Amino acid sequence: MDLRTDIGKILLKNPVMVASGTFGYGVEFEGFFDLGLLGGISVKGLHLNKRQGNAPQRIMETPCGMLNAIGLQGIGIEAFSREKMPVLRKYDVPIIVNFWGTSTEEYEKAVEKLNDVEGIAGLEVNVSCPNIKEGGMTFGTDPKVLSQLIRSIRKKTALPLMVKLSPNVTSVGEMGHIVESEGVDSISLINTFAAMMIDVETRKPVLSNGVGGLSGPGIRPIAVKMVWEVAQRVKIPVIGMGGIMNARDALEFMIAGASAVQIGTANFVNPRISLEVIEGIKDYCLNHEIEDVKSLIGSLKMP
Amino acid sequence: MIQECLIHENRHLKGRFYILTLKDSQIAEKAQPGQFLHIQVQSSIQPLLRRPFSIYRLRDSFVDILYEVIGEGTHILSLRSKGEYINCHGPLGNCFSDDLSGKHPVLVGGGIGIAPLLFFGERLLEKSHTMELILGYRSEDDVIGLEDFNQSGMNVEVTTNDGSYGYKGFVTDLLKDQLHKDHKVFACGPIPMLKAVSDLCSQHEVPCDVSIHNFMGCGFGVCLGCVFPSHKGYQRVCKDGPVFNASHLIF
Ligand SMILES: Cc1cc2nc3c(=O)[nH]c(=O)nc-3n(C[C@H](O)[C@H](O)[C@H](O)COP(=O)(O)OP(=O)(O)OC[C@H]3O[C@@H](n4cnc5c(N)ncnc54)[C@H](O)[C@@H]3O)c2cc1C
Ligand SMILES: Cc1cc2nc3c(=O)[nH]c(=O)nc-3n(C[C@H](O)[C@H](O)[C@H](O)COP(=O)(O)O)c2cc1C
Ligand code: FES
Repeated sequence: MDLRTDIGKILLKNPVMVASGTFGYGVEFEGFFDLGLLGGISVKGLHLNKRQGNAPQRIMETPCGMLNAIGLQGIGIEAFSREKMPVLRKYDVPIIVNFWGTSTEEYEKAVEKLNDVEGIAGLEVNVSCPNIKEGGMTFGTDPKVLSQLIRSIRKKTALPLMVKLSPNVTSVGEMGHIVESEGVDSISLINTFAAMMIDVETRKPVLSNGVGGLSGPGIRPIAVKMVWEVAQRVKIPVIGMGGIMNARDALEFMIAGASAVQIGTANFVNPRISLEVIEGIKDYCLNHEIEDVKSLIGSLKMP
Repeated sequence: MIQECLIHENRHLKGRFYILTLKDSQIAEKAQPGQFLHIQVQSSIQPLLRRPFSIYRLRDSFVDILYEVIGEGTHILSLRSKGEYINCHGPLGNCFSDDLSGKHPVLVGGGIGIAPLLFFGERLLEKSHTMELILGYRSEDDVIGLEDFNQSGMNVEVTTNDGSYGYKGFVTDLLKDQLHKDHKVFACGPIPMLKAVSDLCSQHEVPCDVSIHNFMGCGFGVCLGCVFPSHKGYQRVCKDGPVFNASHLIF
């Protein structure tokens, strides 16, 4: 049985990756299992510089999910390259660096720095952060802003480029089409849904940031539908995520059109979940006499 | 360490309070006072996240958790029965240091924050340290654990906010009359109490360690959801704590 799949120029030994912001810089999971067993690792969103993130309260539980406004706390590209990459390079696993900026120039500078870091398999552009120079609207929600951003990033790097789409748009399929035409290698989705919780006693938002991003199993069916929409619009590989808790959840995304999946929030509850998902996909393939996991991709039978 | 632990007993104490006893020799061997277990109250996606609970007491391979039912997760926990298995991650976090550097320990607990102090107090007794112990509660209905502290040979002073049991007032009212420069304070309880204790200690130039019990996501340092502000930037309560030198924190 062949579990290999590819996301553009990157070959994965199986379709199960871990999602940015839910797996630290990878090294935090060394004690749980051999990182080399994963299909790929997307590290915590990096900025050019060290970022302290938002004030607490940063997270709250929601029905079958959670709300977060971590505010992209991170150690910055240099510290990552110096402290974390030497450890990650020991493992035979593609390292995808998720990165972000508050202006096009910051994204460009980040890419220039990342180009020089040894051992990175690809970049994942996080466009779900506010464009501070242009009034704070997120890059990923305006088609024009998004295409300009991706164009300038694409010019700066030969590394495989994955764009992580925001679900907070009217047509995610259209956004997928836009980034594909800017020459990216693959598309991952979804990032978290903009959401809010209010404390009725204080009448204040529960999170200090006011709004946050919703993740976890509660969002899964919407995520599956969005992955299906994008997969139909584009030819490049799609990486699906949103609430995956087990192998059957992951298979839904693949059948909807994803070439690979990322496990997010579930890592918090069960740090070994990705291995269980890989085993579960294997079992499914055995039971259904599937020789090549790629044959599942987009195999949805619409009524 | 993540494992299915056998529930040996899940005993109702009074009101909203229960003691969960797990039989698990591995946890019992490793656990240190102040550490917590991150417990999946049932194997389902609701509630999604684990819940953190201090280790209250160890006896051989038995691990006791003292808990208060305040919401869905603790309610579900209270319905779990003897003989069932429950998924636990831990012991996690750092611990209270029993290296007192010649200081005399004063333990201060508020509400359910008394939980890690029994284990710590017992550890201090094992090391032949005597200590002062002040436990504060809202009112008599919330007074729990006293028999356990007494049974272990610890002398407890109790305060209630409304005076329905013990001294009427806050733990800091008792603490401020006793604080001495040779003391070291160890406190666990609600944040406003910890702030008051920490302020008092800094006024008296007494070292103070506090254990923070806030809302957690992962419990092992990766989500960055549980941070508390400190003079060295945000600290992860689950991984850098839950025990901190109070003078490092910004309350
Ligand atoms: C390190 C650590 C050790 C702890 N030790 C113990 C212990 O020994 N015994 C015990 O009973 N509890 C302990 N707690 C608190 C315990 O984890 C929470 O009470 C529990 O998670 C509540 O879950 P729930 O689903 O019942 O309540 P939820 O439905 O999650 O919450 C009910 C309400 O309480 C609030 N809340 C939830 N958690 C906290 C919290 N930690 N502090 C203040 N407000 C909160 C929520 O915002 C909500 O308004 C500890 C917490 C930490 C971080
Ligand atoms: C606490 C937390 C932090 C996250 N941080 C990032 C991040 O830094 N960059 C990013 O692109 N996505 C981030 N995400 C989004 C996840 O990678 C993922 O897209 C989303 O949570 C949906 O998947 P899930 O439901 O499986 O978690 C974060 C999510 C959570 C819950
Ligand atoms: S709870 Fe996730 S970092 Fe502390």
